[in-house]
Amino acid sequence: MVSSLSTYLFYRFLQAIVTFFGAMILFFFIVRILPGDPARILAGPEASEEDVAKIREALGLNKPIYEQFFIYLTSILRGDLGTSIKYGTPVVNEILARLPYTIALALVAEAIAVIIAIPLGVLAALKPRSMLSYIASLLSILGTSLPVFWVGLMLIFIFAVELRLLPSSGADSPKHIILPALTLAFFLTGNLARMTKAAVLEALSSNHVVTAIAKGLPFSKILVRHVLRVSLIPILTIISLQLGALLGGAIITETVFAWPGIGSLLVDSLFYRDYVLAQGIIMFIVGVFILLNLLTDIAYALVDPRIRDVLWRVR
Amino acid sequence: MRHAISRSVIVGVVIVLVLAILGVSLLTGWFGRKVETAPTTAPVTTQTPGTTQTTVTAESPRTPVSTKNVLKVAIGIDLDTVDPHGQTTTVVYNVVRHIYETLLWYDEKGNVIPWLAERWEVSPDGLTYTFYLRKGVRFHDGSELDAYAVKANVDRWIDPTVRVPARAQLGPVKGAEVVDKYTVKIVLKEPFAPFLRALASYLLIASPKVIEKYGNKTITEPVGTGPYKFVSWEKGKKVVLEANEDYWGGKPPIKRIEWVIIPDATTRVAALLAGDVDFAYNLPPTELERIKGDARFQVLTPVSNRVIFIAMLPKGPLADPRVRQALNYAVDKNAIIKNILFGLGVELKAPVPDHFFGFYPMKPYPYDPDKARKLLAEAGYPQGFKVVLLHPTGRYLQDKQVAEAVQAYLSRIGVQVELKTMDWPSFVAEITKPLDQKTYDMVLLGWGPAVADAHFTLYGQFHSGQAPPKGLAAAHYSNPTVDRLLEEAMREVNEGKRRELYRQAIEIIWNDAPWIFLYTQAWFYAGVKNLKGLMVYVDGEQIFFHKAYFG
Repeated sequence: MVSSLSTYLFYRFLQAIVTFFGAMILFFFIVRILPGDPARILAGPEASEEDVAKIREALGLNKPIYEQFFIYLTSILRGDLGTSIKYGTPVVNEILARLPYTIALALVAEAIAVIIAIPLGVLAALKPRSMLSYIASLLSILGTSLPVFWVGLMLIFIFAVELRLLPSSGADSPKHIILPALTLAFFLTGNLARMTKAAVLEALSSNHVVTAIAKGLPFSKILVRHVLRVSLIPILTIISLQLGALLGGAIITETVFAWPGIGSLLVDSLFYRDYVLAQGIIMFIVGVFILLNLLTDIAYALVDPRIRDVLWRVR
Repeated sequence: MRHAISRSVIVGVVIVLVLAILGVSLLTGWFGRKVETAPTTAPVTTQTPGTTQTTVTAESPRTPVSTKNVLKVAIGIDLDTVDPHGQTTTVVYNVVRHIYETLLWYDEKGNVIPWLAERWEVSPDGLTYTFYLRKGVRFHDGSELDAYAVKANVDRWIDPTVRVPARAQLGPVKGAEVVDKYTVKIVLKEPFAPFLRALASYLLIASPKVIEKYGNKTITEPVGTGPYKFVSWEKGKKVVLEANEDYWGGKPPIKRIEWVIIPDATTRVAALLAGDVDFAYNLPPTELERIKGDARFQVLTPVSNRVIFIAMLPKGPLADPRVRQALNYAVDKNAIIKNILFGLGVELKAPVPDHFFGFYPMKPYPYDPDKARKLLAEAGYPQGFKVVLLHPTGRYLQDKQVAEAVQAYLSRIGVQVELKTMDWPSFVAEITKPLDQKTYDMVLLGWGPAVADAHFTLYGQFHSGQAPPKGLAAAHYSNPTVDRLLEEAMREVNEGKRRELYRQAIEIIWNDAPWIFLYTQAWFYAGVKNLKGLMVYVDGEQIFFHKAYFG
């Protein structure tokens, strides 16, 4: 039992490392296939070719691509993400400076979504033909069909320009997080409520709940002990997926609200063809995803012996 | 049951973790975190030699009657660097120019005036420029502006190991020599007539201590002589400057300027309307009428240094000047300016903006589709032909819409235009290819040199030596007479003779029509009405706030 679990963890960990380096190699070449010369972008179209050539040389971009890759790989293995082409500063510093904003926005948005979506989803499942159920469906439809920037701008115009209750953009105080977090939460809520509703409905129709009802247990007890507990697993999966996506930077929301997170940094770095910075951010995002997946899988394996047994048999 | 317990444990742990991280992130003050902050410098010695004040030509600012001391300005892009010699972008230049100054500057008409240098002399051969520095000017770190400081900056500018994107634009500088404490000579390798203007536009003077400390590394600690001192730069968020109480040109009325980075133009409008900022750069033309009609705001629409044009490659039908002229007659520039740019443009009367040194007005090609068709028929294309028009999107005001309008106009004379849209980096990669590798026939481009001198537009765009891949002369124009005129004008120190050389070059280019001459782009800035004393820099893209105050 213990040995099969540790084998599973080892295997899973190895897989994560292979995925990480695979993504790294892939991305290294993808950004370089994009047309555009970072030295020229940096210097501007009006600069002379000699000056651009000097910048290219200073950045090491005149070296053959395999040599650039080798340099990149060795520095990654030393834990060095390199120096940003645009800013001339270590990529790690740039990411760390923006990361708190992205994390704060992701957590606040997800918290709002959880607070609204889970009760909404549960109630909608319990009373499928009620007003609340229709609201949950409507939210979910709107959440998938409205463009993010439109919702963001509408919130800005209502709460900042017309009502003057909240700041329009920026990140100077905790108040500034409300509008971007609401914008993101709007899109998270619909999805989460729908998943909650589905999970609760499924649990309600499962054998053990039917048995519990037949046994005549009080409904509140059934709901808490037998329904919610079972439906939490898919709900948590969705939440962790949503968080993973949010930690990669909510690109449009960050841009609309001038929120200085990872997402706006990534857009900026690609626009400047800042290969090094873009790679650093992407590797960070890939890392977060792989880590979250790994943790989820480990949690599943801990909870559910069937998963590791299946894996064991397959091997 | 064991499963249920471990499940609940995991759920509990996850929830607690989420809340804990959330709480910590909000409470530890990540919000107010400074990323790069100026080291606290010792207070600047309060030296005031009586003579200094009297030699200051700039009028002393009126005393403000407002209690508001912080000015918030919204800009669309983050700074890339605060290194005085690493600058590339007009808006970034604009921000750091409040910290660093130049030896010379411009008056409202674009004439070069003394600034950190009180006066200057040019040797008859045009190779040696002697500058007599203003005495008693101090950098924010207390060190004095003297000939050694200027020399240190010139030396760094020409040092090939330093990243200086605009190095060539300053001219063929050989080096600097200290004559005495307040006199410095800058020596050129060969005569370069636009040198004084280039100096006024490019060479920002940083403290010699900072230059010594950073050497050829990127300077991240901006220390200059300017009206504002650097406080902090939080990347992607804002740059904070603080008034230099000891500024030689008089203490600036506004204590603190916050340059807030708001990438989305519509959000900049919202921030202005919501009162979150006092002034905003580069607003969308579609909002012009609305803000003009709002009594709370003032609107500025200064004309920039940037000409917008469609360069035609000398191949296929476009190799014939009659065809190129026909295309000029076929496009109604004034209608484009009025309806697509909402008035934010001025029709070109030469390949350079009207306010440039060397400008000479030609008669614009009027909108005349009949004449265009006639010229096409004369050239042997009565049925028209097909071309590909490459254009960027989101780079210039309404660039995509302008390209679409040109497409529509040209279709009326039988020229079928296929549009090819690219994002800026891909676009630049495409236009820097040699002629035989290009996959388009015409390209919509803007050209905005930092110096308002015809040399920088004409030489960069029409000298055959600047054709891609070497330079970015988009039309691959090649005319030995124009080459000679432009070379002579670059060396001619006599201003009258220089103007005459440019007049000749402009006449040839205008009639040869390697471009569809469109317009000079104007900008749309807006601010609160009681913000007074704004100064618009000669290129129209930079606003200076060192005399600004809230009335």
